[in-house]
Amino acid sequence: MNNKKPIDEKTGFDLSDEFSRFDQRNEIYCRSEWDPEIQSKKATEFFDGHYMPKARARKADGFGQRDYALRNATWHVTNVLRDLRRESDDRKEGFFDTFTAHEEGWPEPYVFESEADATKNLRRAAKTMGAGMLGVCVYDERWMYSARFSEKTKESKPLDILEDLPRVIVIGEPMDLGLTATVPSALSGSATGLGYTHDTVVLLTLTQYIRNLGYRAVASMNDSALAIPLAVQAGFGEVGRHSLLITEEYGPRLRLGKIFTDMPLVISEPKRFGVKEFCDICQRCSSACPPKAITRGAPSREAYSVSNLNGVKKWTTWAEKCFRFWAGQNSDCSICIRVCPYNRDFSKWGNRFG
Amino acid sequence: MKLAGTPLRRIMLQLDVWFFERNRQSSKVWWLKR
Repeated sequence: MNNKKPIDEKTGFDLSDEFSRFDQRNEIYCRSEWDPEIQSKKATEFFDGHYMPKARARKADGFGQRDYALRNATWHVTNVLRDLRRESDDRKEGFFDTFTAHEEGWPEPYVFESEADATKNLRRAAKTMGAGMLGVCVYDERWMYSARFSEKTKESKPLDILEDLPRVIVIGEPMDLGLTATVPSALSGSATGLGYTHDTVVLLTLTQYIRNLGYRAVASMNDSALAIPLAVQAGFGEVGRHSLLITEEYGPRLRLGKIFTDMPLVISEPKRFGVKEFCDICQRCSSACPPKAITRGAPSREAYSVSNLNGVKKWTTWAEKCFRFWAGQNSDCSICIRVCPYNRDFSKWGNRFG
Repeated sequence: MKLAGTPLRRIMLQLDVWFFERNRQSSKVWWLKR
């Protein structure tokens, strides 16, 4: 595989010969299902706590019954769609596997005047459905997982995305600023849950719309590919010190989804607005991270474990330290998201100058 | 140094880093606002 591509000059991605595609089985959540180093009673309780009977509500601010009640309710729709074929077919859709197409589309493709016309129409449809951001990039095999994770066997299994779908539509759903400000709390997990739920609804609706227009489309959320590099290539923004995507519109508060399609669309231009230069001097996330999982140094190719991407020069987060901390507090952490200066509320006029 | 976008936004982000480290909003506040 050719590790370098012309688009890297625009995105700033720096891949070495050591780069290899990421196996989803090594992702930290998957490892918590098979790796004794990551498995723990607290991790199990953290996952179980997303269902009310095992929520372990307590009196602490943000960890009460109504906080868990809201947090777990925000996950409900995502969970239902995720679990449709979980038991029967070993498919955890949206997380390990792509979403199933439940309805047939139109047999012949609708002919748009131009790619620009199709893109404009798609953007309008996506906005109506509630998408926060939309971008398009070319299918890039580098960011595809080398394999996906089987929950049943705990082993890797081949991807089910067809490689002849040449474009990827990336969708971004903003996370609520007020809820994020309550981090760390069980309540703040509602921002994540709602992000996923909105993401799922928009992804499934938009994918069906594309199929109804007569094109092929496969909806994917956390499964099948690394979403952040695709989002960067689709013009959403840049990667920050906390290894998260930073956008001009919503800072780091975004959940991502993607649609693999053959619909003819205009490819978005990657956007750089100084995040790298800013994160070079701002240490707020690394200072605020309780387990010190975020590096204070310069971007490097150092990988701490199998849960990190190999051969890419970037700020890398220590996944084990990060996951252990948030499993320990029985809720999503997201402190790095809360303290990030890019969280300024840009819907307020005073913050929107310029 | 190129920071973020336009000059005013750059200044505001920098001020944010220097002075405006906001404390965590409690969940109680979030619920009361609603």
